[in-house]
Amino acid sequence: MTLRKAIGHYLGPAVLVATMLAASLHVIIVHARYEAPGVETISICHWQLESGFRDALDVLIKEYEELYRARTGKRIKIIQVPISERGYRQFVNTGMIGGTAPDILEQRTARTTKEDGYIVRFYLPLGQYINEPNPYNDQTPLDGVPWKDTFVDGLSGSYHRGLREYYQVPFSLFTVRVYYNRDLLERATGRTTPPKTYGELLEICREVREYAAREGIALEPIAASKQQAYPFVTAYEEPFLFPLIPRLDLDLNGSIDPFEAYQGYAEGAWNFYSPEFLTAWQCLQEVTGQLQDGWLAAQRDDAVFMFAQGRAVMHATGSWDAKGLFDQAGNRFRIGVFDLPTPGDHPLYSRFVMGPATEANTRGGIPWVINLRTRHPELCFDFLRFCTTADNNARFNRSITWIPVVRGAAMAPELAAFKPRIRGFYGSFNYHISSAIRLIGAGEKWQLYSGDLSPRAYADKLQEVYERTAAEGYLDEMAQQRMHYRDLQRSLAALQAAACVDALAQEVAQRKGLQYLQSLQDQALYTASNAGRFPGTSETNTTP
Amino acid sequence: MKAERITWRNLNRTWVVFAMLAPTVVGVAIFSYAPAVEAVRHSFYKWDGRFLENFNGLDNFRRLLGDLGLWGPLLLYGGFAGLAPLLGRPRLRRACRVVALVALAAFALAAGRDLVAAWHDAGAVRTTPLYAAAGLLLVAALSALGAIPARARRGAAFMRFLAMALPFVAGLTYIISVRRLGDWLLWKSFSLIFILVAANLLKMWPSIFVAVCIHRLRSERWQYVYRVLFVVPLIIPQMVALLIWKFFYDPNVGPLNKFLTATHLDSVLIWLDKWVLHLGVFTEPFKPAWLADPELIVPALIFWGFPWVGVVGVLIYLAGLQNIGKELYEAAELDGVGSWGKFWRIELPLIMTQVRLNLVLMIIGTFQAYGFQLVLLGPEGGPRNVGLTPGLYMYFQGFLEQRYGYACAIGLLLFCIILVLTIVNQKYVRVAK
Repeated sequence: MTLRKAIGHYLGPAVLVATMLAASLHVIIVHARYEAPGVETISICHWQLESGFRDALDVLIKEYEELYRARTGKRIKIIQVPISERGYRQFVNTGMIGGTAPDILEQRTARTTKEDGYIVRFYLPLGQYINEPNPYNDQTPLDGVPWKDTFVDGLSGSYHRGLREYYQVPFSLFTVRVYYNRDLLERATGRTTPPKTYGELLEICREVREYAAREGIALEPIAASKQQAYPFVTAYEEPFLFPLIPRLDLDLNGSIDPFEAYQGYAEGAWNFYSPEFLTAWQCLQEVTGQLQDGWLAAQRDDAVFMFAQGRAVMHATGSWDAKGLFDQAGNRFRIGVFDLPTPGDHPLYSRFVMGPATEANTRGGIPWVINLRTRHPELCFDFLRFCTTADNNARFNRSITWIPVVRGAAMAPELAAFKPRIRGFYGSFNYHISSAIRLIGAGEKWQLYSGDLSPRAYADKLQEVYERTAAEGYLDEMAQQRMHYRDLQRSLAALQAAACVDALAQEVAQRKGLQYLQSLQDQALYTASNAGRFPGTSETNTTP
Repeated sequence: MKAERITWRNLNRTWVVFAMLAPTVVGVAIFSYAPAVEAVRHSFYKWDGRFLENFNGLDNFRRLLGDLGLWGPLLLYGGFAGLAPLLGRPRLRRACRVVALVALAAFALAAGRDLVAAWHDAGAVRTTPLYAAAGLLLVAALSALGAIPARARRGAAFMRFLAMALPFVAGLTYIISVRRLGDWLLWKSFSLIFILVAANLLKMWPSIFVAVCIHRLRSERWQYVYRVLFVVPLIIPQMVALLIWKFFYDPNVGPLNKFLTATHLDSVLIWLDKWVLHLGVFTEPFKPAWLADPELIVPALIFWGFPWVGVVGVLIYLAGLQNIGKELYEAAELDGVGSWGKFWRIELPLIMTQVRLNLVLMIIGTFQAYGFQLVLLGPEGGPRNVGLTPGLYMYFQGFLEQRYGYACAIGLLLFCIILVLTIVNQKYVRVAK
């Protein structure tokens, strides 16, 4: 056989064998590195690719590994798995379903099914750990304080009301503000201070446009993308709806859930033509009209880039972007930060807007969850405890210029403007009672925000869908709630039975029982408020 | 050796055949049929996949289709159409007349109830005449077709036209009227499907042309190379292809907008928009958001997959083309038939079996598709829900709203529609033998 023929015959199998060998070698090396005998390995996965995050986490990991070795004499290896935001959901879902997901994961709406089902199936509940003190807080001001209470939000963001359980451990706290280019603002408008009122904000935007036209340069008042439009929704839609809340809030929790919204609607207390809604959307359109052309199609990074390049004077985003923006500005321009002003000075809007929304209920961000199938749940908890001492949490957040979430942890001075606003009004208004209203709402809202749909046309669409589907959605949701409570009763009975034989289960049952009592109170309030108000028996709706 | 007939009686000799078939049959039963049967079962349940699993009869279908009584005549006609090919036998013809009478009775009941309701509630008046018209036309067609003996039909062509046209008119009228009572979001989602099916009919042609070109290559080596080149893309996962297309449409960094700008087609589009189309989507600076602008979503979905040369399609057509004998080409050449004539008179008629197969696969694929829209537009189908398809709606109801029972009912409805379309396709797309 000639050489050429031999190559022709054996090249394919040779490539195949070589590839197999290389892959096997790689697996063996990785295995030897991370799964060496006597080394316990856990992996931590996240999508934070911001500068500094991985380094900051690495520092904590190294310290914990050394501390663990010193304390127990055993070795531990914590592997950090950063995944890009774009592929994160797919990565997590595939791993969760296939049973190969990392031990600790940054929680993100990565569900394959409705939230409850996903959480129960994949996340480890933290209930039994969070009421114990964090051992790493010994001999600190937080010594003896239950782990839950060492967080500034009391882990309220971690608590899942439907499942009566805690699932997440946050690392940071985030608020949203407007960053502005102080030099550009001064040059374009002659002002040295940011806008204090809504009127001033619009005035500045107008002046910037005039300046850009006069100078013949590409300069926009505000750079944004779809994701960065939400701060405007929060600031200029929700406050308009606050006056409706006291009228509709049956369970007195300060916010309107879809049931209360429907009951109020059925009694004629509101509809989508209510002046509160129409004015809110008009105001929102006024503000989104100041964003750059084509903002709806822009990506998050495009808007950041636009601001960093000095092509926009303002940019609304969260404290998570602070380090990146401060670094990019460097010595080229000075950055200032201000809070979006509420339209309390506007002749029309001030009729509805009582004040800004409070941020006292801000919940912890960067929420870590533990994979239910992890082989090392205790180690995962221990590592998270280690990271959430006041000192460690402060160091971690300082190095990436984020706001710490643990009580007593000092915040970086440049983040002073991001300190959560305590004063203000609390409330939310959720009218999404049927799948149709959720679907249509999601499809139409961007048309409203971009100005392609007038507030009245938007109201027409929502009103039509709500009128047609709300009653059915109400009954559906009530049926779900009823089944949910039935299931809770069953779980409680099982826990009580187990409590007879197991002391730990007794404690769990007691805690669950207390939570259940709370849920029964909620239910009783609903039942009381529902008397005679079910669809079909309610009075016909009238337009206010 | 004569092949032995396999029956239960000679099982002692043929058990090996059953034993060898058993794993496949069991596998298919467990992984294909059992889920399908479960889906059918759950379509009669209110099921959230978690706590709730209550039998609710036809409630899911009532929500989907509106008043089920109004669908009776149409369903009966479906049964009648299924029996129509067997109408040569007198007994079956009589059976069909019975079906027509039952359809009439069902319609009369539904319409009568509706008229009574209209008497009490002015809201129903607007739709009642539509039902009446649709049902009467339908029943008239049924009776006419059933009453005339097959051999002695006068004006058979006219009757055939009636038989073919009236169900469509009736069905359409029903859908238009029932959508007011049923799940109008589902019907909304069908509007996009019909556009996509129409577009896909056109998008089938490039594959046929490419297959013919490869078939006509004189060099067998190059034919082989092209066949391999068409197999290679099969290894790319569909999800990757979708993400590539998503990037392709990106308004800022996507190749499409860059290409349009580089070739100055952007100015043409802006001019067209300004003076002819008046859509307001092509403006300065030229950054059309193909997947974020409701006006551009449908064109983007149609353009997807350009140059529309389906890999599997080309291979299927090639298989068909290779069965055409050389003597046919030689005869055509002797008759002076050119390349174009060979295509229309020889190749296309002789690969109609493959075309029909692809047509069926395309219709099924288009009706069932949701991953494509989900990745490109999100679960709500993009702005104004323009990209909502029945498949995506089924996904939305099942996985996001957790109304699995309802999603199963949508699935069953889709199955019925696809089945009817496949039957129509099999019956009316002529295949040259």
